[in-house]
Amino acid sequence: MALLEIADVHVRFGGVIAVNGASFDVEERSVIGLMGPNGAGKTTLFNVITGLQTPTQGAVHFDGKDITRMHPRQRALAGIGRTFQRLEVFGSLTVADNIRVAAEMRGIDNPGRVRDELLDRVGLRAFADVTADSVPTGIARLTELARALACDPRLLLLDEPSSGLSESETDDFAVLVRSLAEDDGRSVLIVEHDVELVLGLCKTVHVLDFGTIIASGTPDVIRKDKRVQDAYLGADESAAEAAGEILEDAV
Amino acid sequence: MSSLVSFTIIGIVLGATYAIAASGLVLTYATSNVFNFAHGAVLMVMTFLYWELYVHQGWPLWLVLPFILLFVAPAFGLAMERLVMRRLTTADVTTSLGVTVGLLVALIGLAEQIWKPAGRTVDAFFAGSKVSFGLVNVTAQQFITLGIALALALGLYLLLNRTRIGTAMRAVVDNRELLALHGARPNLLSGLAWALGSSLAALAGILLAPQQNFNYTDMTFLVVSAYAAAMLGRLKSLPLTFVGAIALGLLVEYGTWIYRSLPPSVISGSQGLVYGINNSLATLFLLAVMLLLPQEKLRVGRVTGTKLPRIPSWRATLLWSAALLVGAYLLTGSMGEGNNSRFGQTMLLPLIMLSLVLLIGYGGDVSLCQLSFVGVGALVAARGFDIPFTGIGFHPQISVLSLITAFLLTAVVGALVALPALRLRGLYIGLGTLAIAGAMDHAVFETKLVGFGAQGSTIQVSRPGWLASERSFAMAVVIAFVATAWVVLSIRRSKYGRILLATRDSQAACATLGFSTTMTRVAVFAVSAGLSGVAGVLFAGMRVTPGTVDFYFFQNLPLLLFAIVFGVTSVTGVLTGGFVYGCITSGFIISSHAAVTNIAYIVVFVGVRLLVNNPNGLVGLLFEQGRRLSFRQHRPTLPSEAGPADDVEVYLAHAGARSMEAPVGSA
Repeated sequence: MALLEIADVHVRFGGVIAVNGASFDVEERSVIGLMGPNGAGKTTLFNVITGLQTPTQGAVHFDGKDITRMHPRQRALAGIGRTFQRLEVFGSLTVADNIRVAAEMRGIDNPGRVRDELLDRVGLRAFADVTADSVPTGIARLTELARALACDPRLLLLDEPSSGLSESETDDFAVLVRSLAEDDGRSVLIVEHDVELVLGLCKTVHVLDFGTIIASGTPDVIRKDKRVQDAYLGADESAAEAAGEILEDAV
Repeated sequence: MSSLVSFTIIGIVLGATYAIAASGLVLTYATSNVFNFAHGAVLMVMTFLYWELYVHQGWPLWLVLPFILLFVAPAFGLAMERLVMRRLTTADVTTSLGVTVGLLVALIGLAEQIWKPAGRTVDAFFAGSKVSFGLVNVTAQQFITLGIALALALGLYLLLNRTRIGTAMRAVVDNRELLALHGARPNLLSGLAWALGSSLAALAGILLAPQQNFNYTDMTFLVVSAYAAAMLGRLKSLPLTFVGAIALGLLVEYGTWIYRSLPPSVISGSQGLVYGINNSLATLFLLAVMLLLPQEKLRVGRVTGTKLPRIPSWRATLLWSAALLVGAYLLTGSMGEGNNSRFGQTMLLPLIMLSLVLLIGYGGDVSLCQLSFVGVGALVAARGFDIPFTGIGFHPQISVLSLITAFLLTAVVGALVALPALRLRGLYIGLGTLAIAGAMDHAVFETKLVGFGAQGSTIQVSRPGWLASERSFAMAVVIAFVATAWVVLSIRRSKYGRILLATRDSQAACATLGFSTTMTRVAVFAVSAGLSGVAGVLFAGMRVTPGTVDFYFFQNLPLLLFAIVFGVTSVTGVLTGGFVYGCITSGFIISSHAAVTNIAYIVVFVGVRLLVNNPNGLVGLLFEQGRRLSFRQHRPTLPSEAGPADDVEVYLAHAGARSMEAPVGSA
């Protein structure tokens, strides 16, 4: 049984269909990628999983339980953590306090130690005492990641975690995510624009376009999929070829 | 029976005027996303102007009406939009609440300054002429009012739904830039909406004028009823607003009808309670509507975080506390009893405002009924307290017992007040708490049963012997301020302080971390109210004769404004803000002449308008200035592994600037 099961989820906003029958599983200890062009419905799907959006149709199961109508808070308590594409850091607290307060909110023992460990692990030590609304975007994203980790989630949803990170920071980030799955035994679901990062990091990747999953499989399968290349760069032949090259390069 | 019919007609007519005022409110909100708290003040000023021109200067009616409705009021609306409201369309709710409340207070100050208190009346249109329908008579004024309301409903419907301008007006609120790209002129459109809104306020005021006693605040808050009506339409729907207005008009008049048909023994037996409830029907309606509003959804992607002033170190806190105590001791030693009394009363205001630091500064909620909590505390000291049917209780006194009781009692009241706050935020809490303050005036403070007695009554409070002198009691107030400040700062430093700020910054993030913000917000409301209650006991003792006037709901507005302008996010901010406001109300240092108050009202509005993007207020600005200076002196040492250390420094220096614009991404 998979940790997270998404079955035939639909989300409609009035006449707009944001998610149109998405289904996939997230196994324990796996890193799963969710790709797709802007407006494909990735963040909406994240909101469905974390409870900020109720699906029009379909069901979400976590750890064998139906959580489709559960409040975001209860899902978090059940072990789902997330970061936000549009940042939701606690801007008036320092980076360190962002992490600590999360542990405090959950009544975790020794929040000070949790904070110190995570500052080092996520690589935020240098920014520990800077207020979160004055750090650069990439650092704020890592702060959200560390904050989510403070609650020790079994499933972690990362919404475009690498945007705002430099190349070397992105590499560190990939190492961290791998360790979250392999060492901690967490599952990670990533929405990402950085094709290279997703294909390099994830065991399975799903590609969304106009709310529908158009391709699923290992990075190799995705790389060769014609529809993915089309979806990413439109039907333009030359552009699609270029995309193919980029995807090929991203080994 | 005939009386019921005539009350129905009066109710519908009253509802029609509410509808006119409320539709102006909806129109401006729908086009600019700014809820104009000052709508009623515009109504009040325009009605005074109507009296001035029509009655005092003797202009003919055919000239006065177009002059006000088609010229002065629209021009005023345009000016408001241009100078004040346009900058608020993207501001957070607390800011726009503060600024429009500031405008309200300033307009009251202005009106009182121009038109000194005096008896004023205006005749109805075609006074004396009426049409008889068997049992009841309908006056010409009533016919005109109904006709105008109907024409207005139709006209607004056609304007908004059937014309290009109307469609564009509805679009302004969603995206000004996009609309501009499509060739419309958003500034012109919202200007038009504000001009129209202001005219509608004037129209409602003029129609209501014959029944008015020309009291500044009463007339301003006639619009509380319009708020309630507009709220039923969620500030968006005009048809629902009209329905709400008529329903409310009927409710108020039927209330009066029932009240008049009650046997006198019931009314006197309730010791003012029935009278009070009857007088606060409109506010109770508003509260009911707000309780029925659907729960606000968690929102993501909103700009979060306000840079707060740094927490002072314990050492600095200790030093400043000592300095304040010694300073107050020396000052009170050098002054006579009269000045010591005024000084003590002045210091009550910073004490009261400390509770706002917790609630607004840290918690990001708003309360416009803080002074009512103070009143509850004062009542505990002035009337004593007992739990009905148990025999447990105590006599009027100022003691540790009454302080603790006041804290607990007001904390409970505060938690109850927070009930609507559990579901709502910002604007609605502002309105809701103001409505509660208004209702408490009538249903608590002005009753004999639990309050001070009829409007204007006071209760004599006796101080314990060792606090009998003005000097000793003033010192007690200062000590209470210091102690409360320590409580507030301790909370800020503790995990509860961090949780409070986190709750304020992002409720969505809190929820996805598995934390319920609801309990936090109830708790902060309760503790903040409790602190106000404690301040209330000291208020009663310092004032000696506390009464209904001290806790009049309107006083909540300047209280909030002075706190915001000087800085509601820091203890220093409320100390200065409270001290200045205290001087104005008690006549310490500054004379307590009415003109001073009026001018202060206008000045505080200018302050709040200038500080639109500075939630930390004047004192916050000074702090920032000071930090910048000290930065130059000692360059901070930064961790070496910080990567590019220069970057970190730049971020620290540009503390105010936000560097987290959301990238353009997928939906």
